[in-house]
Amino acid sequence: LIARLTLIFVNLTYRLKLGNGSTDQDVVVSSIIADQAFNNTSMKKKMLDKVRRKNQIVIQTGFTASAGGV
Amino acid sequence: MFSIVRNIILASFFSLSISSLSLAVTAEDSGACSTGSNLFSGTNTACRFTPQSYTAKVFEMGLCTVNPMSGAALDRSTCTTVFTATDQTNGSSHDFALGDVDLVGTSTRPINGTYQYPYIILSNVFSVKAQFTKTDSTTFYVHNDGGSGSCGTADTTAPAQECTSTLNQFGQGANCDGEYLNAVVAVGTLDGYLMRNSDLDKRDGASETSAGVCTNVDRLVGVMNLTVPVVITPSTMSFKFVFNVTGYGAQMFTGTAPGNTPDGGGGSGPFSGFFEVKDAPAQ
Repeated sequence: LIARLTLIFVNLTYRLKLGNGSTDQDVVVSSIIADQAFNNTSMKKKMLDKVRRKNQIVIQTGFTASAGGV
Repeated sequence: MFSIVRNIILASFFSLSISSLSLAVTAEDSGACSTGSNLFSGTNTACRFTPQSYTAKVFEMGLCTVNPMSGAALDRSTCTTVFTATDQTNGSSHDFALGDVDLVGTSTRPINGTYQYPYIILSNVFSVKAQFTKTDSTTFYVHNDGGSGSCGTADTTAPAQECTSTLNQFGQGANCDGEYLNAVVAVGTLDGYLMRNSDLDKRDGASETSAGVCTNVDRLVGVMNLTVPVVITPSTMSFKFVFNVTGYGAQMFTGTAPGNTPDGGGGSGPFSGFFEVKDAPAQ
């Protein structure tokens, strides 16, 4: 009796979609070439997302030259 | 009598010019007018008080890294102008007895950096209206009648009149003395110059003298040499020159001190002032 091992490999790629609707990315970029250069979308759902920011804030204020008397 | 009065007038102008350009300083302080029995106390032949109005004309303010008056004229090559009056004929004219004013002109943010020499260009003509009341309710009024003091006579006859004082000489000699140098102030030194507007040339010397005063004077330039230079940063939000008017804007003069008779007349008088730089509060 000769035992023979047969190995079959399958490479399966799939995308898991959460929820019933299409993702934001699907909506904004429906294909690799978009019809519109810049697409705006609401950030309302992302208001609590973590963001990276620089804490050293440099603001150049308005400037006024004046004179007065005391 | 004339020479005495004239000297008093020049002294008055002298103190006016020095203090109006200075940083928190009152040069040649004549002392405050007394509300007591003697208007002029001690040996003071002049006294200062608060005018009802004090009008000065601002033409320009700026900051320099090098003394802009090291030569014969104002050299702005190392300066950054922070204010330029729209009306370069009459300047931005205001009554500084009323407090802060909105200068009419263009404010420009200076380039960030360190500046040792702030400067201001003013008209050499100042206007005042002044009266002073003592505790016993005696009121002295300065008139615009061309007599005695830089404005005119001062007496108890109402009303006070607005008048102008013109600065065209620092010294008391026969020749033009258009510069006053190295007045020591709290934060450095102060130089004052009588200038000709057309080229901002410093007026000084016998060749620029007529009738004992400097010729072609129409500007007063003040340059400070700060011991600790001012630092302009992105947070700097204002640059301001403040005239000290209260207790300083007007003067009366007398030939007899102590005394109660302003027989030397009255006029503008030893003001003090200071430059103010404000930064925005930290975020």
